[in-house]
Amino acid sequence: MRVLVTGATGFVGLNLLAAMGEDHEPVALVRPGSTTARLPDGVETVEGDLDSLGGALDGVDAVVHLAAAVYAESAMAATNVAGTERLLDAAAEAGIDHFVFLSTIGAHPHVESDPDSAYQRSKVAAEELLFEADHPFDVAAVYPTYILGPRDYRLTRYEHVRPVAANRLLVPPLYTYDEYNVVHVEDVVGTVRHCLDGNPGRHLVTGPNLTTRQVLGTIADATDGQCHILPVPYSVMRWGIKPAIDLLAKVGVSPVGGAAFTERGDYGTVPPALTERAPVAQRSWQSALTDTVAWYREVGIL
Amino acid sequence: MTLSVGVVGAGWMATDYHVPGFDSHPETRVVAFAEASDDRRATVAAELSLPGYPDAAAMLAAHDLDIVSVCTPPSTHEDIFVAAVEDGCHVLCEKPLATDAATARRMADAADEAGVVTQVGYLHRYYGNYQRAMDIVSNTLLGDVVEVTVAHHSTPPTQGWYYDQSVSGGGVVRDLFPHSLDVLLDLFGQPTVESASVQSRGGRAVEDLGRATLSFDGPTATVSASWTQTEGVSRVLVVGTEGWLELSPERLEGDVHGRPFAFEHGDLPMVDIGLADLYPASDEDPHRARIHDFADHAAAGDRATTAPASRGVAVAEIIDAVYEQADAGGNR
Ligand SMILES: NC(=O)c1ccc[n+]([C@@H]2O[C@H](COP(=O)([O-])OP(=O)(O)OC[C@H]3O[C@@H](n4cnc5c(N)ncnc54)[C@H](OP(=O)(O)O)[C@@H]3O)[C@@H](O)[C@H]2O)c1
Repeated sequence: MRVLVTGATGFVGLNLLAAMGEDHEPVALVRPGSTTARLPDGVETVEGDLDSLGGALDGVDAVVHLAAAVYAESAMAATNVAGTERLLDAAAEAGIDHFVFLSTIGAHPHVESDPDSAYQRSKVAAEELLFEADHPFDVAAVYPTYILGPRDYRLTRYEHVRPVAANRLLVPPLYTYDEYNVVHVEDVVGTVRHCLDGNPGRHLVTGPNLTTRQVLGTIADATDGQCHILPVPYSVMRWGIKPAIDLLAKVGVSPVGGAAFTERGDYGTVPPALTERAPVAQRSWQSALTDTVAWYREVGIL
Repeated sequence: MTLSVGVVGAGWMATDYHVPGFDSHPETRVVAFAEASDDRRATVAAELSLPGYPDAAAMLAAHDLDIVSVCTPPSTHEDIFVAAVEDGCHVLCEKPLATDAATARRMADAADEAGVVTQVGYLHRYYGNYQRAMDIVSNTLLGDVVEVTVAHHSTPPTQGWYYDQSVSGGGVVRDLFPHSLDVLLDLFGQPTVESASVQSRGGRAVEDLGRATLSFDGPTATVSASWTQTEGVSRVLVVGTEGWLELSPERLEGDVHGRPFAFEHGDLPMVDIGLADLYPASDEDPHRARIHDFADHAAAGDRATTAPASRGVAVAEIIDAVYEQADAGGNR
């Protein structure tokens, strides 16, 4: 089966290409300016992007659609919605059999989406294109939470790792009181391959919900273990540290006030009933973190 | 089994770096040295309690050596190097390997014939920051590298032979370019020299300022070096399609997709609170690192050192081409 992979040069795409076997023969869609140095040796490529697909779908049996604007807000509507629509049209014309879409946890019908996030809005809009229209092919969508693992060439997860590796002691406000739901990129890749094997419909890929301490503690063990994460109760942060930083900001010592430090970030958490779901055997959340750390170390950034 | 080392040329490079370097490695010991100057030989023999010989041939005849370490001026390298490899010794040779590429090629051929382990004494890659930068670049974190800028400027050398073309094979280009070229060749393969210029600003008999533009398969690099500084500076800037990095021996910083990174002496900070950071005290010793790396390879009989004699040939070819370009363009 020949499979066109959009977003092949991204984090999930490179991991997918590395894992695709004989039965799924990838054709990587590569934008004209993008580097091909990270693609596995000998992988077939076709130049193009979602605006100009050209003959990218010629002779393919399936499409895995990973390409998305994940960080650039201005490109989200055009890439994630209009681009997906164009790809669906082209797929219908090319007569493919399977279409696999990589959505995000917030776009799943059983998970509340964040209306303030342009990214989530774009993925919700793509949802309608996929499931509220008739397509002459199977449609599968994958809903991962916060993905970690090797080949994070854009260093999107470095912000969670470097502070741990670059401090012997981590106290607020060096860490904030966030919540996480972490999955291994290999499990996302495994789920995409499961979809290609003829399993349409919606597939969650979720881990357990985690606290900052669990995540940072595991990263600390995976780095050289020299960082101690000092547990400070949230109330101390809220009523002690925040006002202190506000004061430092007032006298010009701190460039920012304390408000940001009391925010509680959410990286992909799900309702308890939806934790630890995937159609494939899952790796542990710890291994997602330790494999990320090991890869950063391997490429010299840690 | 401990390998016996003989050091040729007992200047500061030998006494400050090579002798302590080999003596601190578990598998190598310096057992003898050769030095032409009678005074210096007597001083060093007393200081190190080692037998000293007037030349390499006498030392090779008197000892059954496994390793020869060459710390003499460039024009003398060929004879010492060839005698050593023909005697079956592994050789660490200070840079530049030779005064021109033709000589370097004869040396590399002799080493291949003898099947011994060789390394040219390039230093930069043994700094922690260079190691990191080379890893980051070769693992394509910066995307496709577009441009490299190297500036390596130092104080004038104190020994007279540096200014004698027949001994040194050139000026600052022959002296300082090799460290950078070694790293560039490793990362990007063989370049062509696009343009070059050399000047003597201080009225010296050889050039004390040199610049070259090299085009590699991918990036373009400009390399400049001088001997005109009171306080030296060494910086590298690498720009790729997805990020950049800049380094000196002390500090490395950069950015990938808007996400910054920083190291000092190859290390992360111990404390980084955003407004301020504190790095661990550095005990970095690149001289010791390169000598130990060579000693490891010699002990294992592994010819694939970071910079075997063939690297010295490639470096000499570029430097020869830099001088040719400078002459042809009237840029001298
Ligand atoms: N990472 C996560 O935690 C996570 C979680 C949930 C869902 N997802 C979804 O997983 C998918 C892959 O994410 P990722 O983390 O791998 O993202 P990524 O590393 O940012 O990669 C994005 C990919 O999309 C390509 N792309 C962007 N705009 C394009 C366009 N107009 N035409 C063609 N290609 C375009 C990029 O190409 P260039 O290389 O040329 O830039 C790159 O290959 C996305 O759909 C994302 O929404 C990710």
